[in-house]
Amino acid sequence: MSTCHEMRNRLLMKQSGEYEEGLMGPLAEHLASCAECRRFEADLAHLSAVAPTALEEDAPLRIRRIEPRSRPMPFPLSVFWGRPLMGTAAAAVFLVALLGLRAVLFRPSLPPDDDSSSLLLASLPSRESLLREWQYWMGYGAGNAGEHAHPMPLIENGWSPSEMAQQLLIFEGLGPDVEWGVEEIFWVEEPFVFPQDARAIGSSSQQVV
Amino acid sequence: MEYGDMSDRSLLRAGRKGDNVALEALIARYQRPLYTFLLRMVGPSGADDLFQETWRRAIKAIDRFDDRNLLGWLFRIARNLAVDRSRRESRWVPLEDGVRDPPYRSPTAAPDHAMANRELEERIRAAVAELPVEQREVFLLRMEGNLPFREIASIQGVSINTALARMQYALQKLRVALAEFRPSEGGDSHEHVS
Repeated sequence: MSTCHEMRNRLLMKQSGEYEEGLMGPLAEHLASCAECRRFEADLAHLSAVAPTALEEDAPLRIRRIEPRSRPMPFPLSVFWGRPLMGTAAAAVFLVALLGLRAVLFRPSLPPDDDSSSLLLASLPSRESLLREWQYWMGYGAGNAGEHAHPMPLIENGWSPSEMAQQLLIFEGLGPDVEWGVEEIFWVEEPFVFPQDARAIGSSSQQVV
Repeated sequence: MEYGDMSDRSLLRAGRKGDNVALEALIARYQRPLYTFLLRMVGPSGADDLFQETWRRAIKAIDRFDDRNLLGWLFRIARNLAVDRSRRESRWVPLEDGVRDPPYRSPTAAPDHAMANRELEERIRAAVAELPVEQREVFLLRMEGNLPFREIASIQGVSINTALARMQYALQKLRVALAEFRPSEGGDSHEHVS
């Protein structure tokens, strides 16, 4: 069997023109004694004659377009070449765009920020507004208007203003810990007297009952 | 000299210098086996695009071609495109889809003989469509491209023995499918009686 396999390989290579003439002797000897390999050779010859025609298909489309070796002039040049007025206008637009780009790219750099996190920097104004709102509700909105407003300590229990703002966000359901309760937010102590019926604080859109 | 009489190398040289007519002559020379290969590998829906893309890439990279075997190089590009496409689509198009109406043949043979030939051709197309991809590839590269097995092995990235074994498996299946059309011992008439 392995001899037949090898001999058929040789038949294939003979048919493709890759078979070396010096090895023809063993192949001829094998073919003389093996009817199945002779049949294989005949079938191979038959298929080689018939299959290319049977499988052949005309390409239905011509090549759409052969890319030219010499490429056309780029669009701006081809349009403006030979038209001085349009060329001048285009140059002016280009110059203005270049100056604008320069102004953007080479503007004075901002002073270095203590907080390296750009995300934190971006969110700082909202925290400030929350703090102002906090002060308003604690000092004014809850009934202590005007000059009687209780001075609001911004740092209590070792919290920084940003931590307080964070707690406000949590209170409004925006923070990671939604379990954080009202009682824990309201850590303000005497002498501030909180109205008894006030149970919630928050942004100005929230109703105080 | 007419373009049709020029060698591949001469046409390529002219194409490299910007002679598009020479490139078109080159395309006309090889478009049929190349398109047939793509059609039998990916079906008509993909063959047209891959055919265009093969030539586009070939012309783009023409300066890097080393003048050895143009058709082998084209088949290599086409085959890689077909493999890429199959990976993208995770499937090979069933070849029943790829079988078109058989090309028109002039009725020079006797009607019975012509009918038998047509049936044989249809059977060959169907049997080739049933082959596994690697075997089909070897068979088409050999039969349509007339590429030597060393080139086919190189294109497939396998040893020559593997390429030969794939061809043997392909032939084995085709021989079974076409057994009834086997020529009789003494002539070219078919055993098949329809």
